[in-house]
Amino acid sequence: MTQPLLSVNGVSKYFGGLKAVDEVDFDVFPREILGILGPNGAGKTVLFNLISGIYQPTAGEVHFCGQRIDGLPPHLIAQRGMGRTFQIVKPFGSLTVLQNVLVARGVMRYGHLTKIWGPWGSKAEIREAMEVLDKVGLTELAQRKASLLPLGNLRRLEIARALIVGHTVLLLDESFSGLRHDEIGQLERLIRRIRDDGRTIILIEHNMRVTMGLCDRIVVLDHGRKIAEGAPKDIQQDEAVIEAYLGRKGISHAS
Amino acid sequence: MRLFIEQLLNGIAMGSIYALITLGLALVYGVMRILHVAHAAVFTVGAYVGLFIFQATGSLALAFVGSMVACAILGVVIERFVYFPLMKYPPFVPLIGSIAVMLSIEEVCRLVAGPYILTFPAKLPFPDIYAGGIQISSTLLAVYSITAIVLFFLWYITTRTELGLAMRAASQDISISGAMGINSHLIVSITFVLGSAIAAIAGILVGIYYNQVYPTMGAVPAYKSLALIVVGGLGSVSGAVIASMLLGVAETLLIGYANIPLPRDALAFIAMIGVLMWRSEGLLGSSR
Repeated sequence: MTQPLLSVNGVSKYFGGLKAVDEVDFDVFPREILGILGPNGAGKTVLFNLISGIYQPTAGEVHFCGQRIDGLPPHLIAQRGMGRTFQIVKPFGSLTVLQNVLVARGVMRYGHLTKIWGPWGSKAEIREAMEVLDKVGLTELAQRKASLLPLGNLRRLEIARALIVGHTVLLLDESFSGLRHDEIGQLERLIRRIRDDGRTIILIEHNMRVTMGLCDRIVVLDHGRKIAEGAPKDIQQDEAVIEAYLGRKGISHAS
Repeated sequence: MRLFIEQLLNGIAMGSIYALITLGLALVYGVMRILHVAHAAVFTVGAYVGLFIFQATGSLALAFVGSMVACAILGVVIERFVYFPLMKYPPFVPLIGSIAVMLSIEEVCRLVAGPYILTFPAKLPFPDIYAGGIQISSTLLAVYSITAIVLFFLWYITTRTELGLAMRAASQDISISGAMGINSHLIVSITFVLGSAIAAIAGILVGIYYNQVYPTMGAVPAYKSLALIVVGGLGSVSGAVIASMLLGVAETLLIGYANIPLPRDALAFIAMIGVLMWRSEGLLGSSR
């Protein structure tokens, strides 16, 4: 079997007495689409925050490309090629769509104080940012203020920003929620295309049909613990999952 | 008419000084969402350090540079050792820490320099201008020019450089900018360097303008600049500058003309109460 790209080993996060994430283990392999599933409050977003460095784990380790990354500040993890989106879309509203992407692109060299005074947006950077905007289908809106975009386009902008940071892996936190039916289809195609370009994707998703159709493997969390892991087909039939996530009615009603 | 224009010119100078003090507060609030009360103590230290260097060397240029460096270091020390460890607590905890720092620094100034009012007998290298019977003293001219330079510099940084782009990003959401690969902590430190260096300039200008440097000179600016960032809109740097200018002019004109029984320092707070009642997000604030 190939080396895992990202591996989460026995990671826990306690907030006071609350075990938000409790000894979770899983591996993510290159060019995989891994889904994280679970009811509200299962600890999915906390898990993303632990992987991307916003929180430090109470216990356990996270390895990315063979190196330990838990304990590193978020910007250093991002600079190793991990991009992420947030559950609540928060673009930098006062900036244009293009500038939003340039923020993520231009600041990669912020370790070097010399570049800090230079004007931002060299030709090469703008070209690269435009390529990413083209990939997500926002080329025409590049000069629009980000705060004026409707939700569907904001999600694309978030993915564009995550793409330019994450050459290796993307963490997508509920990118489908609130989208119209046709937008969901477009986003599914976009995510597949990103994977086919050679990136690895981990996504948190509530929409069962999307998760089952899109993901290669699924990890199911409940009350901070991993209760199942496997291919979508196996997950659909897993007793513990059906009980925790769907209630006793079973998956046939939800899908 | 001549008197009016002279009052107006004085008012603009007052406003410029308020703006220089308030800028640091607005910048820090923007990236950290804390009220940096101790900023006014940094301003006091700026005046003292400037005065001492001036007394020792006789060079005003050295006084400005040395004081800016000292204040920048002081600002970063406050950020690293007071705010950073307290950021995980609710906002009133760093606020109380900030008040403690302000009082401590005032006391240190009193211990080192004594409780007296020192004079700052420097002459800024600007000409006195007489035009149409109106006099613009070299001090006024210096205040205008230096404020204009500082504002231009800050405008250039925030709108034209990568640093500025990162600062704007961090001030909108510090955890997202972290996920975008921006070193948020570095940006916060740079913000303190900028704000504190500007406070040093303000300290020296106030020292020369009033020819006074004393340990509690930061007290009135401390609460006035808090009122000003609320009036300007919390987190809005340009709002803070506009509010400062308006207050400077309004104070000077109202004291000069209207015979209001209120002390001039009350005006900032009447403005703040008014803003909170009618436009709680401030002049240029966003209603987030």
